[in-house]
Amino acid sequence: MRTFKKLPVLNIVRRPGRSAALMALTALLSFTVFGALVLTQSLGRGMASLERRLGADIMVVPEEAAGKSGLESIVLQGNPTYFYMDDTKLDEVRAVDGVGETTTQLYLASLAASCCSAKVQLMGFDPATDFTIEPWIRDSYSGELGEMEIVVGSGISSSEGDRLLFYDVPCTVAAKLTETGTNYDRCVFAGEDTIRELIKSSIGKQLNQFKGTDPQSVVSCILLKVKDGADIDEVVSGINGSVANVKAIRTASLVSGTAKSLSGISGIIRMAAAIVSVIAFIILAIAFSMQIHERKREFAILRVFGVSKGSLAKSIFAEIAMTCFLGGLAGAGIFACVMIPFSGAVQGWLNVPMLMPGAAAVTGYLGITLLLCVAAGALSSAWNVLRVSRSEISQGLREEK
Amino acid sequence: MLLRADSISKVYERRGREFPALNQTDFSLEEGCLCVVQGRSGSGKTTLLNILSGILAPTSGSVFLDQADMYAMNDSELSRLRGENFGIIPQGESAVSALTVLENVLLPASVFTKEDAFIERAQDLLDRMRIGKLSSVLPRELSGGEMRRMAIARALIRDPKVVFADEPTSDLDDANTREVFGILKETARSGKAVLVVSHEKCVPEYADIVYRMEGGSLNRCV
Ligand SMILES: Nc1ncnc2c1ncn2[C@@H]1O[C@H](COP(=O)(O)OP(=O)(O)OP(=O)(O)O)[C@@H](O)[C@H]1O
Ligand SMILES: [Mg+2]
Repeated sequence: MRTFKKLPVLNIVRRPGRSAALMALTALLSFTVFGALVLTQSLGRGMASLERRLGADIMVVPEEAAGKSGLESIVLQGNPTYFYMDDTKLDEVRAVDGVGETTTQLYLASLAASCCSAKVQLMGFDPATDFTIEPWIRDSYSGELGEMEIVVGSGISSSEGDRLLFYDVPCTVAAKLTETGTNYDRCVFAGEDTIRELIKSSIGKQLNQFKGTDPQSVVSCILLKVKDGADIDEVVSGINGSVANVKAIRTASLVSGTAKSLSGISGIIRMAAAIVSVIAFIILAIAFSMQIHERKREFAILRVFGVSKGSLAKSIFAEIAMTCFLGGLAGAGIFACVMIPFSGAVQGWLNVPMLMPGAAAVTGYLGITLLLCVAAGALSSAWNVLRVSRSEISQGLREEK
Repeated sequence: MLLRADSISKVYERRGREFPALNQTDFSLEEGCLCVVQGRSGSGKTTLLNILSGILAPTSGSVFLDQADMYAMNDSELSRLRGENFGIIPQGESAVSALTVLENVLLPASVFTKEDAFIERAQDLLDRMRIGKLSSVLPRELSGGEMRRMAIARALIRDPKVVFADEPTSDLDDANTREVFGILKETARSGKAVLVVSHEKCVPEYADIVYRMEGGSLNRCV
């Protein structure tokens, strides 16, 4: 290997103190850019996932449950909850103008008590009509869910084949779902018949607040799509006007609050990233200018030994590119170290759905970030590098060491 | 004639005012000759040496190496000429701080060619300079004299036609000074042209030609 060609590397390796400040600055830039990319993407994917999971245009719940808003509290707040209405409400809803596909869900909350393996939200769906949960379960499980078979969200710590106890009824885990970034990840899904068994047992044990309920003739929630061309708001008021004791809610309005806070958070993240990036760029430019000035004499020495202006500029740029690449890698690495263990905490703290992008996408963002760091280094130093490489050699030799 | 300067001069600009550092000067240097330039601080010695060694363009006049007009060349041609034909020992400390002693010596050889063929020669030169054992040490661990000898070894690595040394003994004791002049003398005897700027009293013992620089004018003494 040729000493002159190796010089950029040796300058970094053997004079780590000199490169450290520059690397730290690039690391800050990379942490910010990479972090902003990953976070905003996670939020966007979380939102998309949430909308996909909702799947329905309108949700109908018992009037007294409307305060808790059913799905909203389950999907967005994650408080296990349950409530019931007569299943004849389904026929009444179906009779309303503009109502298209319908399906029902049945809820139950398990307890953190000896009768249950864990305190989770239990959701029963009707496999014959379901269009919100099943398509997603199909991604992980292709068989039919049998009696007392359950599918668990990715956030529940049990795996296929495990047995879980709910109100002393043993259930078998048939599959575990892929992550959604929403509170669905902490739900347990089963066919409605299975949930009915569990409700029966909970009533028998005096552990259900709706004591007089007949599990066979109730549902918790009706989900529906409107017919093509029908106006969702009109259908909502149609149901609220003609079906007694229920409340119809437009699902989009459930998530619109979330969507708003998401775009607000994304905006803040982007803004903060832009400000930090600009500041980092400016400091980087100042730091490069100082360091290049400090090393003028050494650059002149290289010129003395036959290095042309162009080769000198190349050599300095190579060193800067490597410094920024390494700094960028460090910054992204630090972000990953902070983000991976604490993503759950961040999600809980922001109280919004978040879904980390896949490995390929993250690699892509890393690539973009590193490219940006190298470009930032080259741009912020360009003027000084060109100036020093073109300056008079004898002038450089006169600089004090 | 190896190196020839035709009526070169240098005028610096200082705060908008012209400052003549070197008056019109003719100069020539031959193979096998150790030539010393003496003179007060600020008299223009480094300016002359820089112009002759292809580092500083003169305000007027030309410098020829063999028949080549150095300052008619573009930067990469002149850089190459400097690297291939000149061994330069700049005034003051001149080590590249991230390179070991051996790498510093090999540096001029690595700019245009693979340095492998020079490694043995580099080690030889370091041995001759009595710093062979320090070859893998970084310059910041060297004494002033060792640093100087490293700079000499580095100037000789490519077997240059002309060696330029700007006050190569300024921070050395008497014994070291004599040693350095001994090496430069030996270099001249081996057929190279050597131009040294120096104030040392022992100069007459070694020099073939001695010039005196006074206020930008060069006068031959010996
Ligand atoms: N770039 C410059 N701009 C203005 N004046 C300069 C410049 N370089 C040198 N000078 C002036 O030119 C004169 C000659 O400088 P030079 O470095 O050649 O002197 P010198 O004889 O080598 O001195 P010393 O023995 O101290 O090294 C000095 O007065 C110096 O101040
Ligand atoms: Mg001088």
